[in-house]
Amino acid sequence: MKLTKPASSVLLSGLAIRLGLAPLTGHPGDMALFVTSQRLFFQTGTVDLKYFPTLPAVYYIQLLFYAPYQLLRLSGMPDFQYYYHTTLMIEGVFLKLPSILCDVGIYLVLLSYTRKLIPATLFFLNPLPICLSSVWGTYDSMMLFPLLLGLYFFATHNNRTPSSLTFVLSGLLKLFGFVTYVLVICESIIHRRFRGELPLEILGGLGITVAILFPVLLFGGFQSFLQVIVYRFIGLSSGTGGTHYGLLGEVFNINPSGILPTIPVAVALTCIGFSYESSRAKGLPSLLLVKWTLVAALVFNLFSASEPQWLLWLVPMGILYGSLTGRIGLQYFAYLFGTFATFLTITLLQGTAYMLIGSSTAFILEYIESVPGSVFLYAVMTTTMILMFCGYSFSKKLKSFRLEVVPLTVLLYLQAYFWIVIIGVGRILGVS
Amino acid sequence: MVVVLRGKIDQTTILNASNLNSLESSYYVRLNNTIWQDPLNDPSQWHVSSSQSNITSRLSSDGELHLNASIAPESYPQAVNLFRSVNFSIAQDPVLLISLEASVGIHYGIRIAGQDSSGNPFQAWSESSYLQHRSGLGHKENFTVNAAVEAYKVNGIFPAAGSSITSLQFYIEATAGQIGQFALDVYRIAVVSPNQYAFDSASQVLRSMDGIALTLNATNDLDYTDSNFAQGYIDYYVKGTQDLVYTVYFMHGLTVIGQGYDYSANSLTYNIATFSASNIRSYPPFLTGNNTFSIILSPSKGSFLSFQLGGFSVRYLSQAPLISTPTNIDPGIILAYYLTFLFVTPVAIVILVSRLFAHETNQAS
Repeated sequence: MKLTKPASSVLLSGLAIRLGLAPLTGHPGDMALFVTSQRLFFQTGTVDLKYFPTLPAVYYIQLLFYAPYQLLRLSGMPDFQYYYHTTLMIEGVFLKLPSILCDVGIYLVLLSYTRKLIPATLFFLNPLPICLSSVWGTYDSMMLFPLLLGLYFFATHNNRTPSSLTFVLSGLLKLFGFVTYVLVICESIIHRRFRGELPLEILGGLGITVAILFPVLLFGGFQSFLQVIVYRFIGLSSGTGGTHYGLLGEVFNINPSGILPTIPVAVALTCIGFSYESSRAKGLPSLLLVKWTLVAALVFNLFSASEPQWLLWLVPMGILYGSLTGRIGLQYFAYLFGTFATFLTITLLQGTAYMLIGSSTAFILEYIESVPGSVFLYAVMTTTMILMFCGYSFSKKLKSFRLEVVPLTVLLYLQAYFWIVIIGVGRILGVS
Repeated sequence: MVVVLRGKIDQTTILNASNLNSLESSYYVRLNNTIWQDPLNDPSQWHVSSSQSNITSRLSSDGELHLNASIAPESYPQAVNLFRSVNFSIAQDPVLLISLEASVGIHYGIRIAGQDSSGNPFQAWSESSYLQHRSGLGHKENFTVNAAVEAYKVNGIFPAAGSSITSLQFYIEATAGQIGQFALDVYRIAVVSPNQYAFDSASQVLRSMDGIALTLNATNDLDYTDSNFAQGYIDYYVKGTQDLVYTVYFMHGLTVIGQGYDYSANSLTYNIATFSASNIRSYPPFLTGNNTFSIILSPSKGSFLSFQLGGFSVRYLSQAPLISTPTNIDPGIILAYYLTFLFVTPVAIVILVSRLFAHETNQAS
């Protein structure tokens, strides 16, 4: 694929923005988890698969990217402590590099898939992926890149098996990727591909999964892997003990002991919906796959014990679905959604000082950060915006984008701030 | 490159204590050594006083203590106190086991006080303590209260050697305008001294246990301090009583430097607990030795019935997550840089691209 000059300019500016932010910022808690595992490996030889707090594929990829950093350090390159961040400056960049490069990968996939610059730009210069990859240091882009690549292969190369194996890779980086894999399997079953692709898809998926998980078994971490990753994701455990409840749980003050087994139900309903539509549709399974992956992302965010970084899943999926169906409104709203979600997350959940100087107790923008009912305000605003996202995704009346939506969203935030923070309606109703 | 560089870099920015080699000793605690017990059959040991003269109260005992109060409405809060003198030495590490039940609608509390060897009084309660201003639940509640720990929480230091606990007080309190008959029933007051029993943590231990302590013998070549503690993990099989709720502490001497979440385990469960400094919210009800590093599993309700250690890892970083507020930081320029890169520049470029490539959207629509 040859990049045009405007596409190259967008790519370079997006990269420059990310690399400009990466050394000076970071989520001290999450970065500490990652850097600890890497330092343990290179400084003590410990393979930290037993206590690594997320999927092992993330650990392997970080090892690959952290090794050149260690080589540079051995050759005498200095590195610096910046305020109270848990990583050194250049060290932090190397840990974030896989996610940053996956952002680039998503940009290129969107560019190739849609053959338009605007959808790809709306993702690549969206504050949410920028924040998550180069500021926070989380790895949702690492899951989204193979997911979108698989969708692209599925749509353009008409070869199902490599696509489904790419979905498995995506799921091994963050379990959500498995949803699309399950949808492909459903589609193969519906169309009775029992002697064709289905066995390859299932056996290939199993093979990759076993290969990636085998070292975990070898280093005695399989039980903790089940406890912390799998059971927690499907809602049968609260992982290492923290309570996990989703947006609706916060809005309606529902917190059933931190355990919320809604994900299996959400996956089952998504599969049923997809299978029903797939069995009736003639052709275009790739568009259905995009649509139902987007539906799954919406359902996961709304009904399960979601985390703020999961909001990123909606952005490229919304942009892609909007581009494939001519929904301009959805593409631009996905951009607005990402921008607002970033603002809400860094002010109401993290605090700008946390990401900037590494202190969880200091607040730079006190009027919008250190406010009573901040989590309730976040949940109300985010839920409202996800509902608007649903409207832009599926309502026939909301195909185009009106600029008035921007001030409307700002007004919604101001209203919510007034009622929740100043009046304290959450406290009065006993929900925050 | 990954394989070649494994373990080849000088250990300068991380310290890790893990594996059973780093385990010095393991013991469980039982609160089974009773020092003193109030038989609760002699009301004359107890003194009842009311904050207002128009409250009528009656105390009776029959192996249980029953305080009944009739509260008339007033425009201010009212309280009835129930007090007795006790005398047990702090050197015995006294732990009070109290069972009581307070009526629904009333608030109640437990207060402990003592004096040092010179006769100077000290308090072992504070207004913000979990033992104060509790809502009556209308059913029995059990408390395990370490007197020395409660005094430490209030005064910031443990009572000096030779100190003793001299008074025990209960109260019920009504808010302004509250009216009605309320009761506080005390079923048990015992003072016990914790007994320690060594066990092999790698094998399953099947006993009733009121706490589990694992003492580490970690070497600290990097001279890291407690503030460098980043995070810790412990994995184990555990089973407890139906009502078991427990947490994990990481202690250096008498200081808590890390704490985990609350867990329950009424059937045999594999659990991996993580603990960090940002999660510290309480103190274990029994004390560990000076200048030792220990991981403690401590119930707030119920007790353990079986335990087997899987492994643990305690990690220190050259810069651990900060849990205090730094001073002398002027965030103006950093914030401007941050917002410019995160919001202003991307949004400006997107607007520019959208205008330059408007034909793409026109084609689509």
